[in-house]
Amino acid sequence: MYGKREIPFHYEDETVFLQACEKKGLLKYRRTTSRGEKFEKTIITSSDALIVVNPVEPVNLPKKVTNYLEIEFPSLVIAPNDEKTIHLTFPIEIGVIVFGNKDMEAIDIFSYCPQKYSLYGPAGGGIITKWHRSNIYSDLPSTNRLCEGILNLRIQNKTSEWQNVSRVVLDGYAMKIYFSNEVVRMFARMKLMTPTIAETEFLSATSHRDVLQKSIELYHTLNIPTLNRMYTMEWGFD
Amino acid sequence: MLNVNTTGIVDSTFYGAVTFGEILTFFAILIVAIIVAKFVSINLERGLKDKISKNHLNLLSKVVYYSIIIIGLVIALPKLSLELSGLLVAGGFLGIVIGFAAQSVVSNLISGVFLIFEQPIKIGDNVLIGDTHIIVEDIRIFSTIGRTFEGIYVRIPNEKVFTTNIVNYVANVARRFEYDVGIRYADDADQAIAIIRDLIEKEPFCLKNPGSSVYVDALGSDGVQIKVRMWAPSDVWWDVRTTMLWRIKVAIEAEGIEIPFPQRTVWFPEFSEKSGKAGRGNHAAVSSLHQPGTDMSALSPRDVLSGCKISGSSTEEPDSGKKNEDMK
Repeated sequence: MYGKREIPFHYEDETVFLQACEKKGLLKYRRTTSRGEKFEKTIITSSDALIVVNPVEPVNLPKKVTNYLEIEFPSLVIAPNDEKTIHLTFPIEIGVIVFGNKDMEAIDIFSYCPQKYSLYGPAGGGIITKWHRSNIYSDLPSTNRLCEGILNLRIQNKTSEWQNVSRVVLDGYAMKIYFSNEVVRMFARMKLMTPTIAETEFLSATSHRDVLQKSIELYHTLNIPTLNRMYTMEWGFD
Repeated sequence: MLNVNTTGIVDSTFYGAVTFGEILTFFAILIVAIIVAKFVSINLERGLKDKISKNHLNLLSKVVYYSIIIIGLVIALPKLSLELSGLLVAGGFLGIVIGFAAQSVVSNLISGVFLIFEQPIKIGDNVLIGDTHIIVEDIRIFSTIGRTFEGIYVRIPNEKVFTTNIVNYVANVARRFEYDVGIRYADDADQAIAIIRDLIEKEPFCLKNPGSSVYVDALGSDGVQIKVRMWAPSDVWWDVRTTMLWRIKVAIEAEGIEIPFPQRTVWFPEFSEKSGKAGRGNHAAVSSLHQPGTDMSALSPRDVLSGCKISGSSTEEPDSGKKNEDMK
C-alpha cells in the first residue's frame, strides 16, 4: 500500500480500497474499508499531482487534539548509569498525501488501530497524549504493518539510582518514521536525567538507509524546525 | 486660465512658524505610518497564523501596530515645531487632568494592559466572567469582546473583567464530568458497571489517565444509582459529554438492564378489614387491577374511579368509603 503513485491510481486489498481518478473533469479520491467506512474528496489542481501513501505521525485520529504520543509498557527497572535498547510497538496512522505545485496536503488519514487518549501530568499544566499500550520486546516483534509499528527505544539512565520506567512520551513534531515492505519503524532515545525528569528525542535511521524508506511527515508541512527537538518528561516516567 | 499659486499656500504660515506644508507633511507621515502599521500587522498575522497561538499572535500584532504608529508620531511631531521634552511636561499636566476626568477610561486601559500580559483568559476560551458566560473573541485595550452561546455580541469593560471572578472552563487541558445512571433493584449492578466501563474504554476521548470511576453510589427509592465519572480533553469535552450518556443507556438496555421509573406502593386499609390481614389483601386487590394481564377496558369507569378514590383515602378512617358513598 505504501509508496508514491501517479494519478490515476488504484489500490485494493482485503481491508481497503483506494482510488484517485478523473471523473467529469474533476479529480476524485475515494476510500472504502472492509469495516464499511467511506471517504471521498475532490482534488482541484492544474498541475500533474502525485499521491503518496505512507505512515504519518499517529496523533491525528479521530480528531487532532494533541501532538504527543505516549506509550505505556510493563514497568522495567534500569541500573544506574546503564543503558539498553528495547523494542515497543506504536499505533500506525496511514496518510494519503497529494503533491502538486511544490506543496503537499494530507487529503485523508485512516487507521486500523483502536484510538485512545490520556493525560500526562496534572490537568493544569499537563498535556493530552495519544495513548498506546505495548509489551517490551528484546528483538523485533512481528506486527501487522498496517496497524502497529516498532519503536527502537534506547533508554539511558544518567542518574546514580535504579529507576523504574513504564512510559515514554514523544513529540509528534520531531517524529521520524521509516517503512519497508515488512515493517514501520521509529528510533528514539530516552535519557533519564533525574528520578522524575527524562528527555526524549527521535533519531535518524542512518544504519538502515538501504532497507528503510523515510515517510513524508505531516508536521513538516508547518515548517517548524525539528532539528534536535526534544521533549522533557517532567511529570515522571513510572 | 486659472493660475493658482500653490507654492504660496504651502509656504504660508499656519501658526507661529509652522507652515501649511509642514502640517501636510505631519499628516502625510502619520498616514504613511498607519498604512505601514496595518500592512505589517496583517502580514505578520498571515505569516505566523500556523506557527504561534492566536492569543500570542494577537498581542504581537497589536504591539507592532501601535509601535509603528508611535514611531511615525515621533518622526512627524518635529514638523509642528513641537519639542518632545516640552510635550512630556505638558503631557504630565494633561495626564493629571485626564486622570480625573476620565477615571473609568484610564482604569479600563490599565486593566486591559494587565489582562493582555497576565492572560487569565485567551481568545477562544469558554469563560464565565461574573455572571456572563461567553466565548472570548478579542481582548482589546478598553474592553473584552465575546459571544454568548446564542451568538449574541457581548462587550465587557476590562476593569470589570480584571476585578471580577473569572471561571475559565478550558484553561486546563482536561476536565471531568459525571452521570447518575439508575437501574432496577432486580438488575445486576456489577454487569451494568462492566458494560459502562467497556463503553468508556472504547471511547477514544474518555481519557485513560486519570481513569474513569464507575460505582454504586446510592440505593435510591426507585432503583440503584450508579455514579459514572470520566475525564476528557477540554477541547472535545462537550462532544463527549453529550454523546456518552445516551450510548450508556442504549448499551445497558441492550443487555436487558432497565432504567427504573419512579414507583410507589400504596396500601389500602379498608380492604384489610374484609380480608382480615392488615393491608395485604388491599395491596393485592389494587395490584391485580394494574397487572399486565388485566384487561383495563373490561373495567367500568366506576371501578377505576373507585380505585382512585380508595387510593386517595388511604389515610382516612376504615369507613371513609361509606362516607364517600353517602356524599354521592
